[in-house]
Amino acid sequence: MWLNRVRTGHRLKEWLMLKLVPVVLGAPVPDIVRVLFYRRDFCGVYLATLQQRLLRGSSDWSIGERELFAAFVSAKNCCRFCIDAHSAIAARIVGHEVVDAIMADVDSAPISEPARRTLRFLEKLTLEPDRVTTEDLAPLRAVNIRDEAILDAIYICGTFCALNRLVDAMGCTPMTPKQIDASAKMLLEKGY
Amino acid sequence: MAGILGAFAIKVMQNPTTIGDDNIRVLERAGYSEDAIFGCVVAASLASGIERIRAGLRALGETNDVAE
Repeated sequence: MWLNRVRTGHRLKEWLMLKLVPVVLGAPVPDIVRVLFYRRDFCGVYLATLQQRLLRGSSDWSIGERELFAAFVSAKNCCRFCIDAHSAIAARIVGHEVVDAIMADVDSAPISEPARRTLRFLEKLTLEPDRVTTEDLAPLRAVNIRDEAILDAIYICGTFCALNRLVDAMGCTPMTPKQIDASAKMLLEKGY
Repeated sequence: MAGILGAFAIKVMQNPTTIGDDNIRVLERAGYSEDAIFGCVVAASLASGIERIRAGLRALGETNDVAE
C-alpha cells in the first residue's frame, strides 16, 4: 500500500475494528479493508453499502451470478485483488469449474444464456463505455432480461470499475490463499 | 483538474495497475498531502464507475442520471 496514512492512520473506532478483523476472519487484514476503513465516512461506508445492496439485495440475478459479474468486470480491468476475492465467493456458489470456464471463454462456459449475454455486454461496458449503444442491449432483451435486471448489472459494472481502480491505485497487495478463502466465507455469510 | 494531480487522476482512470510508489512520491514532492492524494484516487475511481453507469443508462434509454 502506497500511502502510510491509509495503512496506519485510522481513527480509534476503525483502528479497534482493524484489530478485531484478524480474530473474526482468522487471517491477516486484507488491504482493501484498510482502504475502506480510512476516513470511512468519506467513501468506505458508502461503497460497502452499495456492494451489499447490489450483490446481496433483491434482484432477478442470483447472488452467484452477481458475484460472477463482479469477478468478470474485475478480470477485464486486470484487478488481481478483486478477481481473487469475487471469484472465490462465486466459486462457493457455482463451483470453481464454472468460474474458470467464464474467465477462459464466456461463449463456451456452462452458464445460462441470459448470464452469458449479460457478461458480453458488461465486457463492452467495461472496456469501451463510449461505444455502448442501445443495440448492444438487443441480445439481452431477446432472451427476456428485464430492464431492472440490466440496470442491476450496469450498477455492478460501474461499482467494480470504481473499486478496481481504488484497489490498484492504492497499491493493495493481492490476498494470500488463506485471506481469499476466509474473506469469501465471511462475505458470503455476513455480507459487506 | 490540470497539472500533476490531473495527470495522476487520468492514470488512476486509465492505467491504475501501473501506479506505483514513485507516482506517489512525485505528488508528495509537489506538495500534495497523503489525504489529498487519497481524495484524488477516490474521485478518479468513482468517476470511472459513473462513466460506465452513464453509458449503460444511455443505452437503456433511462432519462434519470445518477451522476447528476
